[in-house]
Amino acid sequence: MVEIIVCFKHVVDESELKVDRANNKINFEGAKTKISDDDKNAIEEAVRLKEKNGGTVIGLCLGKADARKSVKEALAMGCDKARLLSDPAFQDGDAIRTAYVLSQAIKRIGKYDIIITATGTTDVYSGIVGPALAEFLEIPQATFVSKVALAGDKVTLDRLMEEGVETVECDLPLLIAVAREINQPRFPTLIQIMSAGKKEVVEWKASDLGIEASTVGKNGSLVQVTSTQVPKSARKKILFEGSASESSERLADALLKEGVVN
Amino acid sequence: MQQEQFRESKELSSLSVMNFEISDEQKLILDVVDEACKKIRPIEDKCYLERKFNDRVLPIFKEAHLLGLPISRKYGDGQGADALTYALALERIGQEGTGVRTFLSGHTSLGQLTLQKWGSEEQKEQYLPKTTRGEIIMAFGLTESTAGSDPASLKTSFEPSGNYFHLNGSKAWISNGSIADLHVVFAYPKGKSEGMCAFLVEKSSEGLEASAIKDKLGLPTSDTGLLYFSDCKVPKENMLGPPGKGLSVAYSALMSGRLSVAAGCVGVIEDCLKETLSYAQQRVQHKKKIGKHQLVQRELAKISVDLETSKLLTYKAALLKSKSDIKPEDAELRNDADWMIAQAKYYAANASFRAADRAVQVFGANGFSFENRPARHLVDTRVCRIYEGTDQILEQKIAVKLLGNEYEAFS
Repeated sequence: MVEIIVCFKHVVDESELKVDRANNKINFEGAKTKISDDDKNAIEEAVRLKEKNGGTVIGLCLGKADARKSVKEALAMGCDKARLLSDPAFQDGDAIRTAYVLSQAIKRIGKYDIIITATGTTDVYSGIVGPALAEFLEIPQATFVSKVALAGDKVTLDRLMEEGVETVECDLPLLIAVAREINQPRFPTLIQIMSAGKKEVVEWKASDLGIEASTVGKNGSLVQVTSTQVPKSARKKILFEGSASESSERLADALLKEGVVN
Repeated sequence: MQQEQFRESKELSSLSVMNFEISDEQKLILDVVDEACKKIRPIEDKCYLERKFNDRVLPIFKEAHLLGLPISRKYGDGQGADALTYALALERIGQEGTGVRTFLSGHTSLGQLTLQKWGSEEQKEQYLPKTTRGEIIMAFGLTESTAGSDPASLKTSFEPSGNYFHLNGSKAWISNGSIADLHVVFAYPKGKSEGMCAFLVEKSSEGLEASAIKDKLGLPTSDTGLLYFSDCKVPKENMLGPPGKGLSVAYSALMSGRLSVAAGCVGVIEDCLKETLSYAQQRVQHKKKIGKHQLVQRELAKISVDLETSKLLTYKAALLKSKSDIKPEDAELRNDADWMIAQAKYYAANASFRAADRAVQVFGANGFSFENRPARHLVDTRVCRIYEGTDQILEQKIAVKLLGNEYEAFS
């Protein structure tokens, strides 16, 4: 039996975003929302571990009220219950403040063996929340995890390194930040979607977690996001003239020189 | 006074039974469909330009549990969705192209749903779980090269021979025809032109040959096949529905098929509108975005009105179908559903063709290339005005319901 808490984020679907080329700003208006892609890998791994070893999975999501949609999806994927951390005070916090809020919620939940996060989220991909959360909870952590094998109180993990795989062993409890290569997240069935609505979802605000509102969210953050812009991609627009064979040779030379092909 | 009026309007609004809101559960299902569609799109783009069958549609829909969405959960990966939820899914799938949607119309709307409605429990248990798990693909063989709008004139025949029926004849323009493992096939008793029967015919049956139709106007990524029966041996237990009730089986299947076409066409219009809006907001001519040109705005407005109209008709038809599915003994309800489905299919098919044509026009020369989606929609959605009932057959069907059966043109 293993008690798992899996953290996931409700984000804007990046494939739906439009860029206003006049000012290079991202237009978030009307964009769909979803569970961050890599967080689905985290949920999938949590559910697989539960299916194999028994136990429960609690989904933990920090987001606005519309994050209930993502919470329901996580429940449909196999989480047994969920906690939604929704308070205006939590909004626009940096990675450290987000990790702090999650840590307070996990302390309130109490019992756990494994906490699973993604290595990063598709919106900002700081890669900090998982490790910072482990620090707040004073438990060991492993990032870029591509394989988890649980045996008693010990867990063996494969970590994806740049050139190779590192295998580590660790005692429970611990935090695992998974790599997207770890699994292929499942699509929930209709009956799982329907039964998700009957599972327990509790919403917690800052006061429920003993958090002073001014210490979290935008006000409590050391990092402030002042604007979000898309980098300008200036094109060289070089025209090669001459016969087809001449111009294609010059094009090939230019591509080699620019390092586009090698 | 104002408070009184407010209270009164609030009381009246509670009497309303019309509701086109999508439930949270339906939204989640649509998210699943959306995710599957996003996986399909780049593959479909490539297949379309290479004019190649898209063989990834099946495994992706399988993974997303979409190969038996309206089929009972008793059968394999069946999901038990009602007609409206299934139509909403087809609407999203329709955005990816009529070819992708046609695969599901053939497999689920015409194949699985017909088997589920008319099959014996043994037949359903034998085949449906495999169809929902994607182990076997279904197709619906009614049309022949000389029997399209007039299915009663079909020539394929059957005769009993021991424990088998022997089928002879051919079928044409069958969606999934050359890739299907199980066909619903219609035939008359040999030498007769009444007492039509339906059969479940396995691909491996002795005497059955199938081939793909090439050089179609559209739908290059989905299969359209020809079937040839030459003393094709079909086990006697594979007759589908009561003997002599083949036309009833066919007409009930066409209700589901037409609804799937209507829903898919709504998706086509949505995609045309999305593509056209995006293009009109980027393309600059005469030193301004073409979206600022009023004649382009008119095209957008017309696509939008066609979209909303098609949606309302399709959703109403799907709701009636859902009600009729719950009360199959209610003939009046079934006729109402049939009539509304005919109107939804007729309107949405024409509206999607108009939308694609308008999208091509706004794209200008760029609209003339299959590199861009409007051109694909234009040629692909054209078939929606033909299959599952031509415009003309549906116009007649819609009018006769108003005039009375004595005005039936073909009786």
